[in-house]
Amino acid sequence: VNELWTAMGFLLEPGTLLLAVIGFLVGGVGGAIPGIGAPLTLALMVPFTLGLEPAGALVLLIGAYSGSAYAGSIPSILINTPGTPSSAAAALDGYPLARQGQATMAISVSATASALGSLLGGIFLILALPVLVLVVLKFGSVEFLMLAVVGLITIALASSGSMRKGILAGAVGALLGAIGSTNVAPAIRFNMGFIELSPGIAVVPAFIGVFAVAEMLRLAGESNVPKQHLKAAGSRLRGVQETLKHWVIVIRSSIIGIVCGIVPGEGGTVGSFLSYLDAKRSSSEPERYGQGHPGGIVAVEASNNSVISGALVPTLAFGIPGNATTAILLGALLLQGVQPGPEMLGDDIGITYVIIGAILIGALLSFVLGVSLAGSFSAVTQVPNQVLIPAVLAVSLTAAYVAHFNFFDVIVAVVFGAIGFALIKYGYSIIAFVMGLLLGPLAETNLYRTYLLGDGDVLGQILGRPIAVAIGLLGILLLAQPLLGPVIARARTRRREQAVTR
Amino acid sequence: VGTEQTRTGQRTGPVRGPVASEASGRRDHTPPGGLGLGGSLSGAPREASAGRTSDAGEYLTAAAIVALGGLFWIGAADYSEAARRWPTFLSSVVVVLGVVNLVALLYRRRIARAPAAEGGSAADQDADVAQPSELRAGQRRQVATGLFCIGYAVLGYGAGFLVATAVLLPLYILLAFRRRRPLLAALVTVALLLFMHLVFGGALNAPLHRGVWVGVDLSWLPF
Repeated sequence: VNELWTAMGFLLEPGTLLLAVIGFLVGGVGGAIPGIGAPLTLALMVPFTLGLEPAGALVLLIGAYSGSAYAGSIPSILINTPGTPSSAAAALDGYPLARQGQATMAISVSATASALGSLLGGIFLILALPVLVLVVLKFGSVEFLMLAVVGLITIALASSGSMRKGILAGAVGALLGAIGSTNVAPAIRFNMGFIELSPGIAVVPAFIGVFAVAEMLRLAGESNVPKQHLKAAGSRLRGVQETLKHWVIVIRSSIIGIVCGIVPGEGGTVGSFLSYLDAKRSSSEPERYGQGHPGGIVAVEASNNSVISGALVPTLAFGIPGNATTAILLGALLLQGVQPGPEMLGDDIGITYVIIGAILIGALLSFVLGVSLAGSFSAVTQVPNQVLIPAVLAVSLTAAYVAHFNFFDVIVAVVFGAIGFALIKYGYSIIAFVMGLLLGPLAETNLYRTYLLGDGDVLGQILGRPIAVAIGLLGILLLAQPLLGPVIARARTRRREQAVTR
Repeated sequence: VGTEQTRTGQRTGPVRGPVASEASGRRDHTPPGGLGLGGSLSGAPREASAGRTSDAGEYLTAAAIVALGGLFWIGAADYSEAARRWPTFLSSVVVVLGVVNLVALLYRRRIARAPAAEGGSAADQDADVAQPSELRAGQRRQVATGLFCIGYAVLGYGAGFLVATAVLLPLYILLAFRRRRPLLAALVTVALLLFMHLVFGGALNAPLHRGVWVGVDLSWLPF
C-alpha cells in the first residue's frame, strides 16, 4: 500500500504529468503517420530517456504508447490509411462515417473508446496481474495453435458477403505469409531470389499497400465526391454519447484486447479485428457494420488500447514481450537497470504501479486531447482528391521505407497495393486476407510443435490440454453462431407469432 | 445493402450506396464510394463510380489466384517435408477453392446472360451505358495513380524520395485531373516536401533514402 501511495504521489507531480503529455503528443504524431507506429516512435524516444529516472522514463514511453495507440486511428478514420497496423480495423466504420460528414463524431468516438479501453485495461492490470501470471505460465504450443485456429475461423465469419471468396482471400493471405524463413525447418521458402524476402513479408509495408495504396487507387476512380462542409462534420458530444451507448462492446472488446495482448505474438492487430467481428456478430444490426456504425470504432479502439495492459503482463512478469512495442519497453526497462520478472510483483511493485498509473494518465489524455481536437482533425476530410491521393501515396510509400529503412519495402507496398485493389474491386474480403497473412505463420509454427510434441497425434495433444479445449470450444461456438443464429431467430419469431395468435 | 446486380454478372456481392438503394426501390444518403473498407468486409465490391467491374478483370483475378496456388504447390516440392507440409496444404486449398470460384463466376455469367439474350430490360441497358465519359475519366485517373506509385518507387530509388515528391506530385495534380491548378500544385508540393523533411528527417530522426543515381545534399538547409 505504501508503494501505491508513493507511486500516486509521483504520478501527480507536475513534472511527471508534463512527461506524460510530451510522450502522448510525440506518440500521437508517430501513430498518426502511416507506417511509423508505436514501435518506431518508442525506439526513437528511448535514447532520450537515458537521462531520466526509471519511473519518469516509463511514464514518457507509456504516454507515447498510449498516444500512438489512440492517434493511429485518426488517419484510418479520415483517409482510410491506418497509422498503425492495429488501427487498420478502425477504418472499416470510421472512414464511411467521415465520408458521411461525421468525421468529428467518429474521432470523438475513437477518443472516448480509447480512453475507456485504457482505463479498463489499467484496472484489469491492478486486479488480475497475480492470477494471470499463473494462466500465462500454462500456455504452450497447443494453446497458441488453438488461438491461431480460432483466429482463422473468424475469416469465414468475416466474409458475410461471399464466404467462398472470404476463405479464398484468407488462404491466399496465409499462403503469402508462408514466404520466407520458417521456424519448422531450416529453409527459406518462395523468396524468388530476393534476399529481402528471407525474413518473410514485412507486415507494415504490406498493410500500407493493402490499405493506403489500394484505397487511393479506388478513390482515383471515383467521380468527384462533394466534400462535406465542416459544420456538417458531426458532434463531439454525440461521439461521447455513442460510445457510452455501446458500453457492452467497450467491455467485451477490452477483454478481447487484454487477452490478445497477454498472448505473445497475437498482439493488437489480431485483437482489434477479433473485437470488430465480435461486435458485428453480437449486434442487432450487423448489416450496418462497414457502412459507418459507431460500434465498429468503439470495438476496435477499446481493444486496441486495452492491449497495452495485456501486453504488459508477460513483459513485466516474465520479461517476454507481448508485441514489438513492449519489446522496446522491455529494452528501456533493462537500460534503466530494472529487471522484469516476478520481482515486479514483489520488491519492484512500485515501478509496476507507476506503469499502471501511466496507462491511466494516457487514458485521461486520450479523452481530453482526443475529444477536444476532434473537430480540428476532421478538417482533413475537406482536402480534395486531387491533393489527397498523391500526398497520401507519397507519405505512405516513404513511410513504408522508413519502417525498416529498406527500399524493398516500398516495392512490397506497391505490389500489395495492387493485390488489395484487385481484392476490393472484385469483392474479396480484405480482412480475411490480412488475418490469413498474420495468423498463417503462427498457425504453422504451433501446428508443427504440437505435431512433434504428440509424435504425430495432434488431436490427442489438444484434448489433453483443458485451456486448448476451451479455446477450441470457443471456436466451434463462433463458427456455429451464424449458422444457428437464423434458426434460433426463426424459432423465436414463430413462438412470438403463436403467442400473439393465442 | 441492396440487391445483387445479376444482369451483367459484374457484381457478385451486395451492392451499396445510391446504386444499391435504387435497385432495392429505396434511397439512402450513403455517399458514393464512402464505404471505406466496409465493402471489402462483406465481400462487396464498390459501386459503379469506382470503375465498372469488367468481366475480364474478374476472371483474370480468379484465374491469377488459381495460378498463384499452383505455383506455390509446385514450388513447395523443392523443400523438405517439414517445410513443404503447410504451404502444400494451403496451396491445395487455394487451387481447389479457386477453381470452384472460377466455375461459380462462369456459371453466374451464363445464368445472367440468359435474360439479356431474350431482350433484357431497357432500364438495365441504360444504366450500364450511363455516363461513359465519367467512367473513362475514372479509369484514366486510376491508371495515372498506378503510374504515380510505380514512378514514385523508381524515382525514389534512383533519386530519393524528396526528388520523387518534387517531380511527381505536381505532375499528378496537374495532369491526372481535368481541373488544372498550378498554384495548388506548387503549394502542396512545397508543403509536403517541408513536412517530409522536417518530420521524417528532423523530428523522428529517420533519414530518408537519397537515391542511388544522384545524392541530394540538404545539409545547407537551416533546419
